[in-house]
Amino acid sequence: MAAPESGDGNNGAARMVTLISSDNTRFEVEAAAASLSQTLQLTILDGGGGGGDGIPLPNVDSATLSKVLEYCIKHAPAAANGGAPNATAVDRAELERFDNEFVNIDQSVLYSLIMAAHNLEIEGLQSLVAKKVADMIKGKSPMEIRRTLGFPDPTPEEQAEMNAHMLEYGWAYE
Amino acid sequence: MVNLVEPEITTPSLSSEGGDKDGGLSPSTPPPQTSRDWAALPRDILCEVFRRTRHADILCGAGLACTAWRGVAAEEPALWRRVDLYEEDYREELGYWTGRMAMGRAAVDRSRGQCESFRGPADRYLLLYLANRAPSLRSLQVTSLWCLPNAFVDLVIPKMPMLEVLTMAGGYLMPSTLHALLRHCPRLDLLDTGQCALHHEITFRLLDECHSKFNVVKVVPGRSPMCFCWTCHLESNGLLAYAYNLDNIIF
Repeated sequence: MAAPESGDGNNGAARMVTLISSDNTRFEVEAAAASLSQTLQLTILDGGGGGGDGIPLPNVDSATLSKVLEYCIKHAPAAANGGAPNATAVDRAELERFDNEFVNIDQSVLYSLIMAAHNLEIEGLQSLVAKKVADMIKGKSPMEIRRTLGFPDPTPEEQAEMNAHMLEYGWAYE
Repeated sequence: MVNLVEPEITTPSLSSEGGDKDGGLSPSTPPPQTSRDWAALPRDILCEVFRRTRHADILCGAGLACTAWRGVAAEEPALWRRVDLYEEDYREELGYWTGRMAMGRAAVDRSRGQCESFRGPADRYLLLYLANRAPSLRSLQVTSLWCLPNAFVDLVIPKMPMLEVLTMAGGYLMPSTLHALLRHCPRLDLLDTGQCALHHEITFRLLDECHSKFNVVKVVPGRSPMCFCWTCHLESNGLLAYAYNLDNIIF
């Protein structure tokens, strides 16, 4: 159970990697935090992302990446402890509080976040945002969901198809 | 100490050398998403969302929001492997009841034979529907009044050979059901009869046999002369075919 003091630091100082967003902003972050991303983990294990190189992320803009890294930095210590069996209840409650606050955001940001979490394969974040979206659609009718999430207006074909389904599923509207 | 490290935004550098090496995301990933079209959410992300959405909400809400969402809701059997249509705020209305039964059938359809557990209200017709379409059913939790008349027992129980858990909220338990469970469900481990009243022909000997084969809990000693479930009620009033539109349902 002897967890290393700091990530995978070889000589005291934690190893840093540089991530480059789609709009060419460079983010320097601890390797341990960036490694929450399954996509980045291998590259980082291979020694990539250090020095001046940086790892380009053509699918993630800087605003989203900064949000993603906020999550990773907060969650990295717990992840380093392997799901933190020895974490205190206080730590867990603090992470939970952070998570709730974290997804309390504008819908367009949430959308970018869900795409980024998916692209970068950050498991905890994927499940956090999926849960948030599930909460948003909970107990809502199809029309309420369309309005909430601002779906584009249905095409005539789509409308016809949905009408047919609404007939088929008449019980849903009783 | 890690908390102190903020994402450090240094000057946007011109990295035009395009040195991707082996780093970064694979070049095959699509270009950055500019639109925020929730209706076009990638399929596996939407699956993650639906996995966290109640089945009743998928059936009546999200799964009908648009063509793409409907596709995911209706064509991902994995989402329906563990059907859960239990609702706490149950309403004593016929339309509500027939609606729940239709939802049960839709959920079973969508599991495409992969349904392993079912929890929710179910009458004899839904049980029959389930028996014919869920060969690997291991857990059945009926949250409405249990009622399986003699004529249905042999059509239902023998088709649930994998059953390990059977729970009933209440209702009316016939001896034929217990005999069939003893004969056809060798894996049955837990039988929770809830508040079920027992048919008067259920003997202590039969109950003993059940106790010796599986864990039986909550056998209520009371006996009942009749069943009070919706289906029996409609049947005794000659309204069954009308209420259920039975001609249109293929069992």
